[in-house]
Amino acid sequence: MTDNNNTSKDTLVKNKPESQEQYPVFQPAVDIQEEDSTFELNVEMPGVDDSSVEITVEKNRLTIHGTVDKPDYDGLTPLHTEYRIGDYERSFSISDDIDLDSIEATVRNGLLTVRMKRHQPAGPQKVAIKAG
Amino acid sequence: MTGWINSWSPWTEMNRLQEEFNRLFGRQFREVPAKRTNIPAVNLWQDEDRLLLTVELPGREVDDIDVTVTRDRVTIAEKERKEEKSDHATWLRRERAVEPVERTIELPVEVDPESVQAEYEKGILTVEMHRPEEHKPRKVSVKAG
Repeated sequence: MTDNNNTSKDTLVKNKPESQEQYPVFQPAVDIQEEDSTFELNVEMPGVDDSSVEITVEKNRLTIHGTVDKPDYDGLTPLHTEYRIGDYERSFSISDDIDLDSIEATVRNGLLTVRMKRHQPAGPQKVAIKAG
Repeated sequence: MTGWINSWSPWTEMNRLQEEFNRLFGRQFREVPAKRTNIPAVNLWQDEDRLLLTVELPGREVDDIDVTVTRDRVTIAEKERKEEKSDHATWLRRERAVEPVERTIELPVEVDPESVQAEYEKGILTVEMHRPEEHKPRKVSVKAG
């Protein structure tokens, strides 16, 4: 599994043209681990829950998009700002042998976990030979 | 005296400087990339009555985060981070910071430590602090002369 870009929350991908307030889109930090034929991605998306994550696969390209509920601290004004609030998006190239039906994802406390498996290699097959 | 001359070497001085440098900046310079620090970014919001501190801490458990508030500072500290990889797995990519966070923020105004509320939701820690009555801004009516 390869990743298309380097990353950090500081990396600004693009500004959403459709949004009125021009929230940025960040590339979230990710950990990827492999065990046997299973891959697990852990993607940091603070502010996102399971209803606001979208995962799409198109031609070997897995894209994760998280939409953040923009906080509305009624009447409060920013006094000191060190991080920006925005959505998340990141794409990964996945190999042909990933079983797309095995992809499952959960979000817990702003951390998205995506698991997927390789197709199990087919074992040797016996071919019946018909008598001539 | 001879001993002093023998023991002096420009390298000793260099090493001393290097040690001093490491002591001052060690944490930041050892960690590559620089993002891997244990000092989390915070945002601070205010109105007349309260201060609101928000910190992004994705993937933690609420019991692992400690928040301590005094009249003029807030400390956010985290217990040891758990290894999220099983023994047989291998890392293909590792970008998330592994160190537990710790940070003390000096507040620009005094708060009442008795009236603090902290909440951890969707990976964001929010600490709401109220300003003591006597410190709240007061409106002064102006009399006509």
